[in-house]
Amino acid sequence: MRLISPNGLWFLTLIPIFVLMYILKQRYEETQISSLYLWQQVVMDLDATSPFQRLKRNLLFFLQLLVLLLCIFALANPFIWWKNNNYQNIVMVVDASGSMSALGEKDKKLEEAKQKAEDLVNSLSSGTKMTLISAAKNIKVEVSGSTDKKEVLSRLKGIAPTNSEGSLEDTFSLVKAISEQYQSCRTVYFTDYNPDLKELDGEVAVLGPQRPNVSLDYIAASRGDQLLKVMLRVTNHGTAATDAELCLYGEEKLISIKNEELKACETKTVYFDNVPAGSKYIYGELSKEDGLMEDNRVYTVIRQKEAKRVLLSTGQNVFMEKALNTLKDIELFKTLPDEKIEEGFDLYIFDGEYAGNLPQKGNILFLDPQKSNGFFKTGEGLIGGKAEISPHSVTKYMNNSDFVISQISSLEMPYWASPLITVGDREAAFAGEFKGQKIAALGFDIHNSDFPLTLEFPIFVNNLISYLIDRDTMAATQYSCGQEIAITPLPEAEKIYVKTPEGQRTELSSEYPVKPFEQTSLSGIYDISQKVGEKEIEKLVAVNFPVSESGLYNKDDYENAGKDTPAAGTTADSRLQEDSRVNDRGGINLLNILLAAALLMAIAEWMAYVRQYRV
Amino acid sequence: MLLAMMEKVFDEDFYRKLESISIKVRMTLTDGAAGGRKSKAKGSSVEFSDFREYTPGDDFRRVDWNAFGRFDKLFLRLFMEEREALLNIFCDCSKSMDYGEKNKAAMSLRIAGIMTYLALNNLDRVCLNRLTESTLVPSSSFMGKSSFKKALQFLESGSFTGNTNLAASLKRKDLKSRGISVVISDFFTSGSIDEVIKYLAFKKQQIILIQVLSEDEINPQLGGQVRLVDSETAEEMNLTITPKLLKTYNQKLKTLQSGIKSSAKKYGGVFFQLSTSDSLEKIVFEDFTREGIV
Repeated sequence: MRLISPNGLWFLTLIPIFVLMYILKQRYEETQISSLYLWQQVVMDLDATSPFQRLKRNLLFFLQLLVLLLCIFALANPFIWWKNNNYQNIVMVVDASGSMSALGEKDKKLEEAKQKAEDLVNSLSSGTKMTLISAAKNIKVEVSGSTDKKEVLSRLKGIAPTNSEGSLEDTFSLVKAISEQYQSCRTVYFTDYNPDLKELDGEVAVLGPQRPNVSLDYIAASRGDQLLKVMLRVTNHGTAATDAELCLYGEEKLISIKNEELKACETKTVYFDNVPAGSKYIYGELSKEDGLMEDNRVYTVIRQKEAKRVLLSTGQNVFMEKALNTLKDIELFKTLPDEKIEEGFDLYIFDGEYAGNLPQKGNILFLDPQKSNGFFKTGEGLIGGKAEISPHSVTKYMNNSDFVISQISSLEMPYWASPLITVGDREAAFAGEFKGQKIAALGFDIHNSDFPLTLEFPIFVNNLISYLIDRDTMAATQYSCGQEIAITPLPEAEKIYVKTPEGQRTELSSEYPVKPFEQTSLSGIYDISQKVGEKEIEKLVAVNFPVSESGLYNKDDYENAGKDTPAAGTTADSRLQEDSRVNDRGGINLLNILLAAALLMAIAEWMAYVRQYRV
Repeated sequence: MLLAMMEKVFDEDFYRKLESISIKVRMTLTDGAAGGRKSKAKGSSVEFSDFREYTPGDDFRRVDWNAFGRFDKLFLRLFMEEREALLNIFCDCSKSMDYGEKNKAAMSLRIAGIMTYLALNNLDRVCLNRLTESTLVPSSSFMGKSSFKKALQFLESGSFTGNTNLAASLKRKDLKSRGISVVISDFFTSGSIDEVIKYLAFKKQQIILIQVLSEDEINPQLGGQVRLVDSETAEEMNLTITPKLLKTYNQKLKTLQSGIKSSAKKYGGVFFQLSTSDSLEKIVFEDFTREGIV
């Protein structure tokens, strides 16, 4: 036993004061009686017959003295060590990945892990330095080297399920670095599998048991003429065969149900044909409850728009081609200037000379036009100069541009257009809408400028193409929980909102670069809407539980386990015994026990008082 | 005020009840003028009591000749001799009696009053005595109902002060003839009570000892740390009251009472305890009757 705060023993000096106070205490209640005649006889009699009477009368004094002693001893904070687990430092790693959302003994494994960690923290002596790490997709040091149990416990409470992928292996280097700075350090992992700790000296608290689980891993919809064909992949992670009822929903409406028999560890692909295409999103659901509920739904968004078709008519323009190639959501076609163009593209880009007729439909971008056309007039070439950016939704994020143009053609900007770039008092580029066609023109050859060499060039091209075609700014619609949703805002977007499956609406700053949306711990459909003028452009994103977290054990383990014929209904990892060392508490802090004893003594004293004087 | 209280207690209805009862006197009273009390002594009165056989030296005049005619034996007719009884009431007037929510002094004066009334109503002589310190203040002898008021005035006139040595002050009374002596006190006295009883028995008195106690003395309502102050001597005593202490107190009280009772019984006397919370009716009709006083 050790006294953590031996200074508390100074309070023992209170004892003589207490005794003195007791002796000096003159709290006699004066009562007048007719005669002391009988009382004198009583006292004489008692003194004669019972020499211990005086002691007995002081029972309360002794009880009070005991309470005081217990309190003083509690102030000294005594601590009893068990089994020499005298660690001064402890590092606790709590696995917060998706698989920890599975059901443990009673609660979710993450909650059970937190409870175990809390028990461990409470058992530590008060001087122990505690480090708490939560590991999921990202590794977060919640508390580092703190001796404040309250803080550690509150941070521990704050660890929320991420549903994301994650591996404890990623924490090893960090834990190693932390533990190396201490002389004696104990590392405890709270997780649902038994990681290979390699040379790391640590203990693992394996949360169990592993329960049977069936997961939906993947959903995809391909568009037929009118109807959708939906593919759903389902895996049985349990060691026993099971059946699964697969429900397919279009938005919130049930579309179809299929029953599938699944053997142990089997993955099946199930097709749903002739699914109506009207829904914005669809999801598959397993109706049967199992060990991990989070992976019983899988979502996908139905693409409403096809990729835009862009036709580039150019002799050779490496800069433009490169810039256009970065736009993944457009289908780029190329043609030579002397070839006849076909109708049916969303955007035509004419670079330099073009002899043929201009298309009547679709938007047009002119690069260094050599002659006048139906939209604007061109003049003779002029000597250029430093380019100035004019404010426009296309020139957003280009405020710091600094480039020069050596030669420009004198374009006459029509009334319906607005300038984008000016050189001196001449418009070098403009854009506008005329009779339903969006038209833009660059009055210079980009080879005659250092513009393509600046950072702003791809932004400009991206913004310009987005302006000219109604472009889908977010290509990816499938994410895993914990992944960041990358948002490329429309150039003219004023505000961006994200609505989570829970219905919580968050506004994101539309300033470039837009920070990706991070709070994707819930699987489901996220609604990202961008406000452009009066209307809101909505875009849906599906976030699914990561497939890698559904398998509650490794396949190798299963194969080995299969030979050992594990009990039905449990998975292979249930064989893993919880590392008993974790239950070896560091010791017992006697503070609370002593305080409880003091309280009991106080109650006993009160009862003795009542019994002696009030009966 | 005391008188007013007593007048209230002794209303007419109460007087009427009392008149029908008289104190029984078991002693033979030889001295004094003829009174209304039936003495156990046989003497020359008109009321027949008993026969007994003639023994030489008896008065021939009392021989029942009719009985001699029938039985051929000499029998004497015995008659109840009617004598007045002398009732001495000794009232303890120490400070300790002036105690209690229901005052012990008031109670003892009332009892003295009742007994005085009963005696006067029975044509007996009453002498009241107040005992204080080691002195004795006797009243004049009261006779006849008319002197009842005077008796009450005498009772009222005294004050309750000081400490009383019961034996010392009572011995100052020179009891010349047989009679009934009533001592009303709490008997928390420094002098020996045995001595009092022996003195009264020696003076051929029928002894009646009445202990008047307040409820607080019978069942003390005390607890915790107390400093008891003696009302007579102002002596202090610090005590931690425990249930055991209270139990011992009760035992002591009982021992005191049984001690007095057995001493009194030895000399043909009676002893009983009254509480100030008892009603006067209860005292007269239950306690006095039980003890054979009325």
